[in-house]
Amino acid sequence: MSTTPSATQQTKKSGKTLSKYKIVFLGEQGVGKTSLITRFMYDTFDDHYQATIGIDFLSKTMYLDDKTIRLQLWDTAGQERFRSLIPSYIRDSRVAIVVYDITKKKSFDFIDKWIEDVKNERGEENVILCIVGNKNDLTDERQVTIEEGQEKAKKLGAKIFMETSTKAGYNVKNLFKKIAKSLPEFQESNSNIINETTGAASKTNDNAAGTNGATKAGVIDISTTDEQEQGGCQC
Amino acid sequence: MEFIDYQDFSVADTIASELPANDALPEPMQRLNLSTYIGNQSTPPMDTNFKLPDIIASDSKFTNVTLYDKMSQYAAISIKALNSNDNETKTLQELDNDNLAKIPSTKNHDSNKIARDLNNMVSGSSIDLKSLDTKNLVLSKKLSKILNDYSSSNYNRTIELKRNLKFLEENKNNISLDREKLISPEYTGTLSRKTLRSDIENEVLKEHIKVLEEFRPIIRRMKRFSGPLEKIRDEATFILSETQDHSKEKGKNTRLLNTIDSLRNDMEFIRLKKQLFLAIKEKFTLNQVEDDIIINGKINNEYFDVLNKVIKINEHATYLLALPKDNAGSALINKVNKYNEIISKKFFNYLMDFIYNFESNEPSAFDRQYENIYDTKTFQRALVYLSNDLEYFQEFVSKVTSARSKSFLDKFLSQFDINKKKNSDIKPIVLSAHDPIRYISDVLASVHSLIANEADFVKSLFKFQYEEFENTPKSILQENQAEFLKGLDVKLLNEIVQSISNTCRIRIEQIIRFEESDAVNFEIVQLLELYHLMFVKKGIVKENELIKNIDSLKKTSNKKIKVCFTKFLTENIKPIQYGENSDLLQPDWLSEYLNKLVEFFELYERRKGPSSFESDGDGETSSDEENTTLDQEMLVTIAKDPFSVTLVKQLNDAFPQARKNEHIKLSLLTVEINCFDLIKTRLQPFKNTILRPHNGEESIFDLVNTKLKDLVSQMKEVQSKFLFESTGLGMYNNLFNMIFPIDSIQDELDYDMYLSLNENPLMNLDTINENVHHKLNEYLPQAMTDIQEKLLFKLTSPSIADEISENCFEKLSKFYGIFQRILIHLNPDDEQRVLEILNFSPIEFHTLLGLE
Repeated sequence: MSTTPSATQQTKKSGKTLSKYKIVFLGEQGVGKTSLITRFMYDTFDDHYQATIGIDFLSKTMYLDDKTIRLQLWDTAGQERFRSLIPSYIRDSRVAIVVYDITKKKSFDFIDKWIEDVKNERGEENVILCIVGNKNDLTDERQVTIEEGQEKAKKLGAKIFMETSTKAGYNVKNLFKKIAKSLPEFQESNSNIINETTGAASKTNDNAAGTNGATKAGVIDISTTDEQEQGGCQC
Repeated sequence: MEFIDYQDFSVADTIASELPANDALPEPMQRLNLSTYIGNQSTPPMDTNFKLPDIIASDSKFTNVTLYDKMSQYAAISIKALNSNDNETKTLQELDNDNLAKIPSTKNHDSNKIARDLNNMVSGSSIDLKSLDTKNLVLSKKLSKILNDYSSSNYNRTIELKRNLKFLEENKNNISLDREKLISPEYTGTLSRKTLRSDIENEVLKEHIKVLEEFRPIIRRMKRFSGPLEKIRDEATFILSETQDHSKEKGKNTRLLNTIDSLRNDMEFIRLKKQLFLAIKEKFTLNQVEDDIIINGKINNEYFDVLNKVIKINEHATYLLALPKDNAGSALINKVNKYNEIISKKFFNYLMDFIYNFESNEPSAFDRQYENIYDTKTFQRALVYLSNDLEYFQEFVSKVTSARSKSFLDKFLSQFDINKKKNSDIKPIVLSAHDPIRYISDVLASVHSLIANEADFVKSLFKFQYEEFENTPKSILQENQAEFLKGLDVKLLNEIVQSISNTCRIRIEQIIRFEESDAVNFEIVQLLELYHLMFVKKGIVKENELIKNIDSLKKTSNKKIKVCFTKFLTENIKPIQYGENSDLLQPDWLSEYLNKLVEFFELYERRKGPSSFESDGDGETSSDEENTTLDQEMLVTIAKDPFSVTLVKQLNDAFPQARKNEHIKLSLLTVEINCFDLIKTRLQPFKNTILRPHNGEESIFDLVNTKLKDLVSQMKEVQSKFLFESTGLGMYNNLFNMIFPIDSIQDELDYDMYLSLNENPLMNLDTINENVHHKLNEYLPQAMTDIQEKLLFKLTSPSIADEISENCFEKLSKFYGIFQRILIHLNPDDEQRVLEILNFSPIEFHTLLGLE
């Protein structure tokens, strides 16, 4: 395992120390990036659409598994005229969340472009890619299936794929919890646990834990219920 | 487990002493063998001189190591020693009696007697077998008597004994007795049981001593008062005796009583004085503990409580200053000021420590929020108190600003450090020759990130929630809230952020200064405008140097856009020459310039979005005019002057003879119409957006349009003049218009206006025939071809050419018809002659000119 300076820093910061992680939200106009953040931050939803001007910033402290992390959420504007700003914010982000609207195929098709932008800026390894299909509550208008989303996430190497509904508040906390658990701080302890406890046994039980899925860089199992997942999160 | 019955205990004890020493466990209790009873044998006196053998002195060797074995051996040695020392009269029975004497129930003689009898029964080696039956009988009787003599006192004693034992059982935890040992059937158990009484007595004695010890200080105190009490008693006795003895001497008594009253008053006065001093002490001074807390205590709630007291003392001290003698007040104020100085220093150091910890090790400082001393609430409370001492408060604020500013600047500069970031996964900001926009975007985005982080930090520490401060004097909050603390977070943030304003400006300015592209400069302006908005949204005020620098950079960039256009004109506009066979087209630079301008306008529209051009109710645009790149001044510079001034001048210079020569003027007009038609066509898409009317003034597009119309109108006049002259009607047209405008003729009555022309020799029909007939017949059939193919051929716009020719022909045709009718009107007798001279009917004339 390579020990980059940042990794060392993370090791030092174990325990109660507070690490900051920059998360950038990407996606076409009107897919629900801002509402996803609003739901996570304030647990509210505003029906009235208002386009984001430029780049917005919000931050929130999360307490998870006896660790405290601070998430810095950078909400980008989907409008074309603000596109030129976005690469500068991807440059130093740890996590990139690409959001699409499950009722708009076009927004789904543009995921490839967004992911490419992220990879151009951060490379393949240095960023946690997440693909989020929003507006899950609009089942009648669905144009993109879950399978298609999962397939694309796998193809593009996204560690996390999830469908959410910011209107109904479905899977939002779950998403951020999964993201938090994918961060190096949690990954380290998780991998230690896996190494210590499973070892050879993991060969026979590949699907036992979600973390295994994450280490395989595949799609994280989302079959667990929301309630179960939200148990340990006090954000 | 219950204690064993006392009687059983004594019997078993006796038997146990007879058992062989090597028996491991005691056998169950044997029944008494009455046959061994020796009758009324008198009991010998107890041997009180018997001493237990010294086990160490004994020659016996302990072969076994267990305690039990040791004790067994010890017992065996003891018995042996006993036997050897026996003077024939002493028996084991006596020894047992001796042992039994130590049993707690020795108070009762009956029980001793029974015990002795029983011992006698179980011993007795020299028994007269002959009298056995008799003795048995006697003994049975005696025993039955004893057993039957179960008197109430005996019973009560047993009950009491049981109760005592039960009490011991209940309090076994409180009494240091080895219970296991007590109930042990072995020898150690026996010993333990034997010493039980003395142990309990010892315990009781200890308890008594303890109680008495507790009384000792009370008694000591009482003794201390005994002396004064004695004195008081003596005094009282003396007074009583004095009053009794000298009851007649009233005067003396009265003096005595007065003395007593006086003393009592003095005492009361002293008491009140004491109370007063105590109250003053409580209200105006700190006790030693509080004093120590102020000097050495940690900053916590206790410290704040003491501090509140100091503030109260300070308030009260001001009242003392109002007294005639203000010495006390002054002294107190000085003392409190010293305290305040200490407190301020302490708070200052505490606050600096807090910030330093945060500065040097940010995560741990966040951790410390959870600790009592380093939580943000304590920090804020300390800051509120410190704001009372303006000097220290300003010093603290300035130190925080300086420390954070340095850190802020370092963080910003580290973004550009290529070496430092070599191993990091985050790329440094590097200027690329191909993408200056990206560089500026990266710079501004990093500033934005830093501001967002700093705002987060500053708000967490310096945004006050006043309702959280419990037990804080209102005076402190109210006095300082508005003046120093309100908006302290914003103030600090702005001061910290200011540190990078110049560095940031230099980095962006170097790009702008060398950027030659108007489009890139416009992108830069857009970026700067957007970041201006976003920085303001994050709490950076417009007066901040960073914002000022951004505005200044925006202006510079806007100027550069203007320079780009003017430079283009300067470099590309060169004197042009139009020859006779020239196409009379627009100069080359005009097309290129229009391309550039239109491209810029398109970019501007695209970047600004349609909403920025929407008008509000008053017809004014919603965007801030001062901040737009394409303000009126800019538009005049790049979209008006180049055409209405530069172009017109260049063309006039190209046709210097235009004023004198009609044909040259025609060429000039043709070029001008071609140019302005092109300009109008290219600017048409921006008519309602960029080139919309502004502040009720005529828009640039309208100006261009008006200019074009003017030129076309001039062209029409020149063309009409040529046409009329070619047909010979020009002179008559001028003549008629001088008398009454042809266009004003409404009906035939107006023809009378021209009756005066009869006297004009020009109106002679022969003259008319000579001047007009021939030319008309010769030119008219080719008029249309001549106009369209020669004169208007070089107009690039066919519609304008059509408009001009049509206008001229209509004018000619109209005049021809009127001219014909007026001539008939003036020469009614020579109508035929007139029709011969003007041989075309109006319809024919129309047809020949191609009019409908």
